[in-house]
Amino acid sequence: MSSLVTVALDAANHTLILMLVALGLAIVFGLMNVINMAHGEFMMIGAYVVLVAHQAGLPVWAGLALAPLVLAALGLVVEELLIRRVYTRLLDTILATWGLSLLLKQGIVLAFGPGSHAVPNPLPATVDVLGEPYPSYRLFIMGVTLVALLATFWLFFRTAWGLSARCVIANRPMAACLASTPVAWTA
Amino acid sequence: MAERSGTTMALTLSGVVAGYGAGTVLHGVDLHVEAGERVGLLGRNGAGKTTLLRTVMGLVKTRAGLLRLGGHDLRARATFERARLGLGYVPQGRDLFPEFTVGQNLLAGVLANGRGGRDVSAGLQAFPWLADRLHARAGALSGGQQQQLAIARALVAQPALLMLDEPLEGVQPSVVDEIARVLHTRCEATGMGLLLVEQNVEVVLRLCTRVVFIDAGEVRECLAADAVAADPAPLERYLGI
Repeated sequence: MSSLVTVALDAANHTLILMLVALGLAIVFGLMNVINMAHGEFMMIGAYVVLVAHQAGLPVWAGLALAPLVLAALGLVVEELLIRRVYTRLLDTILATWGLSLLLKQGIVLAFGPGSHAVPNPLPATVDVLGEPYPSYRLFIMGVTLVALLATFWLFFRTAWGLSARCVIANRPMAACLASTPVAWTA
Repeated sequence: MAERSGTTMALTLSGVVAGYGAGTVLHGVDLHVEAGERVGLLGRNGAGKTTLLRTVMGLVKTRAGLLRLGGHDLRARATFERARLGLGYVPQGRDLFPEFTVGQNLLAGVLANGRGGRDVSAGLQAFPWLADRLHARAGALSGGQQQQLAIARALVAQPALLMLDEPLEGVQPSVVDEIARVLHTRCEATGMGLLLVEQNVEVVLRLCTRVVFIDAGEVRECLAADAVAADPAPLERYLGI
């Protein structure tokens, strides 16, 4: 019984993390028609932002808050310098982002070395779940993921912006004819 | 909205060349639609009518020539910017969002046009029955209803010029009359211009003041609708009817 609870929580934890990762991939593909082969490397850079923030003496929480902002800025730069030039050529977006992924990966190896790094667990305590101790940081991650999924659902299905975005995903040329601004559409 | 107001939103094509891939469909089209003017575009299948509308919207790239709306060079603008300048478009086959509700399809017409509104009353005014079906899936409507929804979706953005590609195709006669009446009323009331591609010559002559005959990717003749109604020889010449 006890191990069953742990296994179930671990499974939920991993599933939710994968859903969070896949969410970004799906939105980028749906809205921009770009298969981002560097998506994993973006995740990696997020982790290294937390590491650098930690090495700079900032608390881990600050690093966690900083990571999405840094990644958003990086995404804008990558769009401007790289993706903008290969829109509408699906195969080329795969090649270009694959190249980007190699670049980012090797760049991190050059800067930080090939070994692994650790930051202190900001929530080292455990919580009893149905009598089983479970790391609270994992529960925190699951909570964040659930909030992110619900917020994304709300954004896409309950707001005007979301409807506009779904129009672009459903029918890109027609959405453009209705003045929606799909990032990828150039005539 | 200053740039949309007034009488400056005339559409001008001059020597427009466009096509798909290696093929050229439009071989230098010259066409002028005055602000608020209602122009019918007639020609055989494959003459380039659909391509012409798609080129004006920017769905087909203009390879050469001049393409202007009022003072704006359309060639320098993306499709969504052309829509914001006041071009409305109802494509052949309607291109509704079939999985979305009627209400969402109407909203999609206004959400992005830069005025920040959610006002779909212009569409509901045109076809009042839509108000009762706002929560129905657009894909579940009949063909004629879908056509009316597609027109309403274009009207909610209050375009300066509405371009329609065979809006009466496969629509039953009573609905044909309804759509023609709505378009006529709307143009009279708001000064909206019309560029109408349609096989139903009788409706084109009723709705439009001028008829443009296009053949093999070139404009062959521009005639007053009255003149064509009085002497249908050009119809035989260009349409074979």
